[in-house]
Amino acid sequence: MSDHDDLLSTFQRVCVSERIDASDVERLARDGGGPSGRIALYRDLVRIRLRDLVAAAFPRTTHAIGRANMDALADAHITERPPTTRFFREHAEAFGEWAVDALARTPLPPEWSRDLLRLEAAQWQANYRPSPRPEPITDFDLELVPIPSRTLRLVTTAWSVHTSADATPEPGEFRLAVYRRPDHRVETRWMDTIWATLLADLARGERPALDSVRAALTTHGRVADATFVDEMTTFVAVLVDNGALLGSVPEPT
Amino acid sequence: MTSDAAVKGVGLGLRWELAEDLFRDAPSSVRWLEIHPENYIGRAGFYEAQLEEARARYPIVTHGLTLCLGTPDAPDRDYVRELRALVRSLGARWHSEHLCWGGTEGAFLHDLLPLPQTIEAATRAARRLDELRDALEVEVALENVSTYAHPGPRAMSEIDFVLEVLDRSQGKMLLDVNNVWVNQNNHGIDARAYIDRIPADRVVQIHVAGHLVRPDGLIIDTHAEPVASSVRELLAYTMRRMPDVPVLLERDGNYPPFAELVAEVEALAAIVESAR
Repeated sequence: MSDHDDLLSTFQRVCVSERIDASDVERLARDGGGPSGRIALYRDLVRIRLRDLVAAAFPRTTHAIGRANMDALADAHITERPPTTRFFREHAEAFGEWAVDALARTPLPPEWSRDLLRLEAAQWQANYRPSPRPEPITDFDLELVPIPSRTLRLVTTAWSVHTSADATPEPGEFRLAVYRRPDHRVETRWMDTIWATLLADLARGERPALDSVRAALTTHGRVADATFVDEMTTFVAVLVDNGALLGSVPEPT
Repeated sequence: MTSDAAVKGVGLGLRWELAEDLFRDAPSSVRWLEIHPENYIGRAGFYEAQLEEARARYPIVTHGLTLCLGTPDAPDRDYVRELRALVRSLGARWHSEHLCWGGTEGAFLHDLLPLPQTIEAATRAARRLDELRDALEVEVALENVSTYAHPGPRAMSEIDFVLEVLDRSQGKMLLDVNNVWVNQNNHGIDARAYIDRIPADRVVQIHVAGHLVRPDGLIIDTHAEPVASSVRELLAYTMRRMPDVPVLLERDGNYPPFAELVAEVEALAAIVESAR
């Protein structure tokens, strides 16, 4: 590594390390680099920008655990795993994955903060991930293999973090589907257990939807009576209309 | 709409926060747009739709945030291919990147970090600029950045560093007038002398933006305040040297009511007009 590149490496260390090493700053400020405080300013600028990103990506979690705690998590993430993506949005995604583990190791109150972060991570991804319509494709048909949206995320939480931001979450087991609607809004849908089982199977896109329905019926000990058929038809229609299911793979001609 | 020759007058940096008002009001003073490719490449939903609408209404040029010309790591070829596709799809006449570095050893620090002002840094930046120009098949312009400190030795002044890169490359220049002003304040350079030495025939675009003056006098290039009168005066001085160069207003935060932003664009347009 040349002296030039070693200098930049030192600069980077000032920005991402847990604490500033005075010798690093001294080296950078030497030979007319300017007051050492101004070198350290770059550390603040890097961190403030990434903290703001994380707070914007996870607004409810930030509110729940407090901005100071969220900033501390963002800083710890930068130190442990400096950003490796040019895309700002993907840094937030990487933070989400890291923070789910971090909160498992060192929980922060309230009790539902980790579940809330997991939900917001899914919503963040659904907001921008590309989900092109594959070809060939036809209208959704129970006899055919379904094509799920690539924005679809299935999340199971132990707290009702999907409810209104003003409501205090209740404990329980909540199965949620997160996806982007055709109007670009992200929708979070709570599902009863049988519908969660059904959607998880449909989302794999591996077998005809009718086989997924039969498997869900077996798993939950239900029969395909008129009530079930009516509910299932409504459930699938909503998923298709709202963009969670794009259609079906046509039969080979 | 493709850029063709229509990137003239004053443009605005497209931001999510401004798009709805911009598309609804369509102020005639905003003649063209600049986008950050990183905000759109690989991104669908609202963002893709917004770009489609912008493309249908305005000429667009692209301004990168992450292919910083002095970054030690080689540019990601896949990203450059995606950038090329975007630039071509928009019909952008040029693409710009910053004369800075943005991270090393695989990291992206998401800031425009100051380079050592050395021949080694200038040589690398010039090579990167020409490589990018070849890959994108459009003109590539370097933007001068605002700085708060210089890392390590300084073999030359900032303007000599910029000119060194231009001399060693076929690049164009995106002259950020606010950044020149910020650096005059922060480092004591002579802003007008700096402008005087810029080869006007290489400048394809000008940036102006607002900045924050800290209590200790240091100026931070925030893009979150109105353009200072001192910067407008420096713009007027600059436009007398290069009257046909298009000017872009950057606003990245602390957004005012849209009408105030339009008034700011109109004030800049008046400066541009008076220089002709």
